[in-house]
Amino acid sequence: MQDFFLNFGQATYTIFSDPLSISVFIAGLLGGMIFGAVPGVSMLTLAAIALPFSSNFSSENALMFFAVIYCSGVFGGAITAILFNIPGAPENAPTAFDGYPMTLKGMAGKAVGAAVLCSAVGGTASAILMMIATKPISDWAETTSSPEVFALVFFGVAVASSVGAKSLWKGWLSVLFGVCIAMIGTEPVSGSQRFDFGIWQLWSGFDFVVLILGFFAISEIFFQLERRAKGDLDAPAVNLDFPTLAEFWKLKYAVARSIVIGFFAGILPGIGATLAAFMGYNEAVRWSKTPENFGKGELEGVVSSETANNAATGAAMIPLLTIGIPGGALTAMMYSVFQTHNIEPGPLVFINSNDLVWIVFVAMFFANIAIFFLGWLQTKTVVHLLRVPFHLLAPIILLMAIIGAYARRNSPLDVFVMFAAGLVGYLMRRSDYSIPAIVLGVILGGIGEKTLVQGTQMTGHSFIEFVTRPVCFILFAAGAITILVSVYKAVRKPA
Amino acid sequence: MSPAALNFIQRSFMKNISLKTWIETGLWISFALFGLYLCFDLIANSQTGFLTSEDDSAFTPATWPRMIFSMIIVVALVNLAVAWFNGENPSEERASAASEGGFIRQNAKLFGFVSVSLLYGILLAWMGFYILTPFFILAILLLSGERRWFPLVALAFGLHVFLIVLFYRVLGMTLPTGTGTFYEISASLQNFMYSIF
Amino acid sequence: MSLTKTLAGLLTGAVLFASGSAIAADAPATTDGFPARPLTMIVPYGPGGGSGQVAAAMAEAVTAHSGAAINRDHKPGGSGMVGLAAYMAFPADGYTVLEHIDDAASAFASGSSKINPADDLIPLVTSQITFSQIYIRSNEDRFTDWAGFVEYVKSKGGDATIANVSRAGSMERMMLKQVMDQSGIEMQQISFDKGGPRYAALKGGQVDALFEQPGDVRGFLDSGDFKPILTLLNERPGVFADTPSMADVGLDIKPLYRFRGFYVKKGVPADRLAWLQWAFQTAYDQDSYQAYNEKKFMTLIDSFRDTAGSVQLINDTVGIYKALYTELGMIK
Repeated sequence: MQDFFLNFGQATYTIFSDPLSISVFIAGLLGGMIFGAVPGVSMLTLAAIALPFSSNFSSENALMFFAVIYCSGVFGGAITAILFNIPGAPENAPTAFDGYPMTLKGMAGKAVGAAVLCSAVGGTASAILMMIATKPISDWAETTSSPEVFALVFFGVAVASSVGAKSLWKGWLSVLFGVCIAMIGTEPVSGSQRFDFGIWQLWSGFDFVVLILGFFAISEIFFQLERRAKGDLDAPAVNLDFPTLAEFWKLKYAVARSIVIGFFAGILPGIGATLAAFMGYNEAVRWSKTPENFGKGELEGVVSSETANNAATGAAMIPLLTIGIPGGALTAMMYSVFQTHNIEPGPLVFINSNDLVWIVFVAMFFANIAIFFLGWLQTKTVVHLLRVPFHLLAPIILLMAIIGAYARRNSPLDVFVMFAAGLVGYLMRRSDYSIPAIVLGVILGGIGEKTLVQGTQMTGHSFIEFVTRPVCFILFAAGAITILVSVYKAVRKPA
Repeated sequence: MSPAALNFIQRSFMKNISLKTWIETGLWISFALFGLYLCFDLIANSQTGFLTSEDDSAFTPATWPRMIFSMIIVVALVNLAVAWFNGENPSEERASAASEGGFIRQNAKLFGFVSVSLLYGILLAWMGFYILTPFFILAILLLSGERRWFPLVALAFGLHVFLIVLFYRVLGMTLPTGTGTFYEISASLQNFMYSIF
Repeated sequence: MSLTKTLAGLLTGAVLFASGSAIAADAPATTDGFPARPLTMIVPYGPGGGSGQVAAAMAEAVTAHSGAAINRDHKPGGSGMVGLAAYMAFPADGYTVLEHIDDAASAFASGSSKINPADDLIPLVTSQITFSQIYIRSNEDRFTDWAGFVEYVKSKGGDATIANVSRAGSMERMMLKQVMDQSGIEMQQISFDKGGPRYAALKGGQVDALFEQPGDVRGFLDSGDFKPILTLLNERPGVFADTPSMADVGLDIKPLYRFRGFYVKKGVPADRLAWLQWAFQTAYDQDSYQAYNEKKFMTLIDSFRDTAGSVQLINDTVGIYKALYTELGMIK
């Protein structure tokens, strides 16, 4: 416990004693909120643009920046979900279910106020749980290895594929497509080149950040351009109007339930905040005495969804830090930041970079508290930003994306790949495939093949030995059950 | 094809499955079959080529790809089968398919945007960031209907210069310089930037 | 490098540049004021690994004593071949230099790369030369030394495991193959392309041993987690006097070294080449660089080769690999 406070104090001092760190903290906070809130871009856009430049910052500042935009960005996406029915990110989608009807009823202020409050509460609770739980989980993780990681990837894919796409099958196809993208380049069995089509630039595969920029930033620009051709978006008047204490107290069980759901959903790689938000919302509907009110502007819907997705942010750090598996797009980018600064996330990270890990923890803790105080400020700013015509924002986003994509490996081909990914992403989105699922496929596909190869080598090519390792068995079984249940539901229910 | 004929084909042969689903299924299966075809090459190379795995491993570089490509075929077929038995609601898609001719005209801006972007990606290696980018931004802005001179100049040139100074001069990042003559021009631009401040 | 450091470096560079060539008084003269802008250093590996770190240390040392800034450009992939291919596309004007390791030599020997680092490139300096060792956990109780390890591996009948890198034909695989063949043992080699998971696998008890270079696991050696049981050299370097060498355990193997150096493309103007050789070879002697090499165990054997020495080293290395590949039937 003494260690706990010592680490906490030290990291707090590191962040708030250096003017540059404070600036980075504030920049991340405001950047995440603004990018999260402006329709057309998301915190992932900001993160993807910032990622190539992280090597210019110290590891502390770079990681802190990403931790902070994660917290503030997940919250920021709620604003557009409530005001325009455009979730800033997939994890804000359930927020729109009830938030937008509230706006239509003239209760936008209350919905936004509830989102501010719940994001702060959910996020802060999650940050505290994360600080307590990560070290024990990490100690345990040191006794696990590639087979367990593969089993976890299997389980993660099993659950993730059912989220985001219109149907289970399209979800699976999205994930598998991502896995195919990850096959290009150097394969992990003999280290030779695979599927390079004679292009040497492909020997190192596609760069993950370049794909992210294409799939998210560029496809979003294409998407918005089409959307705007069909009619502009109007910015409604917004006033911040916090729910009264009495109203909030009535929702205490919803908040507590969403914190628990969000945290545990967040731990699973490949699921993270998106599933957390959906599960939090679904459970709220299931437990409610008046489920028929949901979807028509029920405050509890906004509360459950926003608490859950912010509660998942802290939890999502656990698999990243303890076993080096990023759970979602943003944690995957943090993974790159670690690597850029010569740190390999995994069981050893607490031994080698304890102070750095604590900076991430503490930054997230304070970012969540800051959301509460800055939420009102942000709501005002967003309304102004929405007045900037999108076609003037687009060139700025484009230029940043181009430089960002090129800067990863200084390869002009990557810029082309980014635009191509943007086009593919745009077409697949139009056909109801899931972009987050493709991105997860790219991340988990690479880790999956590598750990499967290592796992079979470790267990002497014995399938039985592989599957019967205790942790593996549980995860494989859980994954298989998840798949069977989702398949059963999908087949039974008329499409 | 007349709407009646389309309707006939739809009802008798394609059941309640939209054209889009058929096309998508076809695309996925061809994609996976192409991948499986490439895997043969992979096995051949890994057994006879230089990069033979010394381990007597059950795993070859083709094992994982074959698993994934086969899964794609299975899922795509299941998707089709589920649509076949449960039915789809193809009316929406048929409506959009019918107005296919208008689709391109309606989305002319989008097509322009996409082709300009891809063209930029292709030309970048040859012409370099310094020279090509202002034209790209100008094209994007003109396509999106901007005609006022100030935003055009400010974004196409002002922003460009600002970003070059920021990223190349201050942050010390390299940007695409192009080849041949374009490399010479970009290089003298870089020298110039270091000579003025 | 932090932003402040970058800015400070640029500022210092600018000031030094403006105040004339005082600091670079002994620099060879170049006709057109080369370098008029920062150099670009292509690094064919990620920023975190051994190459990324040595590139950073060398670039810092070059900038400090010559005033010329260097932007590092990482192009990882294909065991260094992506960076090499990318480098060959740049003009030979001296503004782009290359960091590379012995992979360039082994790839040329195998025929998978057509670029001879001793002929198509001009080595400016070789600044790190190191050797490999086999490590076990310090608290391992099934065996404590090389003899015990060999015994154990034999008893497991091929199921014993060692963490290594994945690429067939690599320095690591070729050394281990010879060691296993001559010792009459067989082990399952588990491929880890990243250092972190590789070391975690040994520390967590997932593998029995680890093949690595001492500088990369220095943290674990200093903390007492790992200990070497065999040095893959034929003599015992100072700090590892207690660890047997290959000759000590009766192995007759020519050691393959891991070496890292800096190159420029053939055809660069002579005055620029002279300047670059001066800048990089002098940088090696800078205190900051020496301190870095010290920290990475790169001073145990002589790590420095100038251009002629590097050419010799590369040609020797290519010769050994060619003989090995031929013997194993991997090339004709």
